Amino acid sequence: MRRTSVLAVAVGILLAGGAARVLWTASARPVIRLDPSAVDFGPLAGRVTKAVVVRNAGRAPLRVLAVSSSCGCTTAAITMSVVPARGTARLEITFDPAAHGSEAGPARHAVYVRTDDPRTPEVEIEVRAVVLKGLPP
Amino acid sequence: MNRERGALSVGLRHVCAGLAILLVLLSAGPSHAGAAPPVTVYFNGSCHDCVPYLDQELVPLLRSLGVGEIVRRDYILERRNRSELVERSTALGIPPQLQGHMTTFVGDRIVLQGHVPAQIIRDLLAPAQATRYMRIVVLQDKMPSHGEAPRDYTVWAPGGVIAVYPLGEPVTTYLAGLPQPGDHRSVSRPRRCSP
Repeated sequence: MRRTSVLAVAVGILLAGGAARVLWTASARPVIRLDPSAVDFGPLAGRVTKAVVVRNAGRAPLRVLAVSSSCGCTTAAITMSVVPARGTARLEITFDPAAHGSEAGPARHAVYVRTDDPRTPEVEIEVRAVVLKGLPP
Repeated sequence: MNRERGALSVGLRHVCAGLAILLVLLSAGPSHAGAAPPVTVYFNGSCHDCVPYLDQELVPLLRSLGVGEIVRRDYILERRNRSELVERSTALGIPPQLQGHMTTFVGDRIVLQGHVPAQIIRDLLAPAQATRYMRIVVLQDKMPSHGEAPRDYTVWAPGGVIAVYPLGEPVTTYLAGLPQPGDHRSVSRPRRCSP
């Protein structure tokens, strides 16, 4: 009788563990996080590049589908197209104040990263700068 | 009496024939007449070259080609416009890598990404070409003022592949390689031209 009870408990533990493992695996998904989520270049007179860390906080690989920007003056490139679970990639954002000729003043743009994160298919990195006067034409 | 009835019958036949000809003439008009496609432009108002391009080139060109109402949506000032753009692009099955910094939807069939050359837009809206594709996306994201002279463009339509052509190559080259309705050939593979 006692042996049967022990066996039943052991089988129950095994079943519960298996079910938990199946649930854990099934719920694995990529989760994108940005650090920082906005980039301020401040006052600038020449081309500057800053980096953002793209972190995959999920338990499945994060596939980067596309990187685009709101303006030809702002370009971005990411170091890897698949970020492993709990891994990071580097997104380099370059702002070229001369791209629009000699126009000076505050500028507001954005870089967009599209991934297979099911909850956030596109994330935005806000890009700000103040273009100084006196740029070469 | 019989002669009168005969004349009446001939007259009725003429009226019927006239009506039939009128119906044929009405239905033979441009296939998209009366259904000018509405245009939505998603852009960044802070992109200094985009607004003049819109005002001076794209909008006048589209108007001259007979499109419907043109609506502009700044997606930097209004973030919901960006969400709307992404949802719309996803719903239409547009490959994410074909996202430009400015997107123009001409109805739901033509999607222009960035600054697409005028001749390509003219070709896509020409009645002779409009039947060749169900939907088409053209991307040309570079601007000469940014120190990068545009040299090529990228095009994709359902049933075809993503192809890159030099700017001098007409978009009709790509369209000619697309499978047509009732065409049972395997999916066409347009030549990928190096710029």
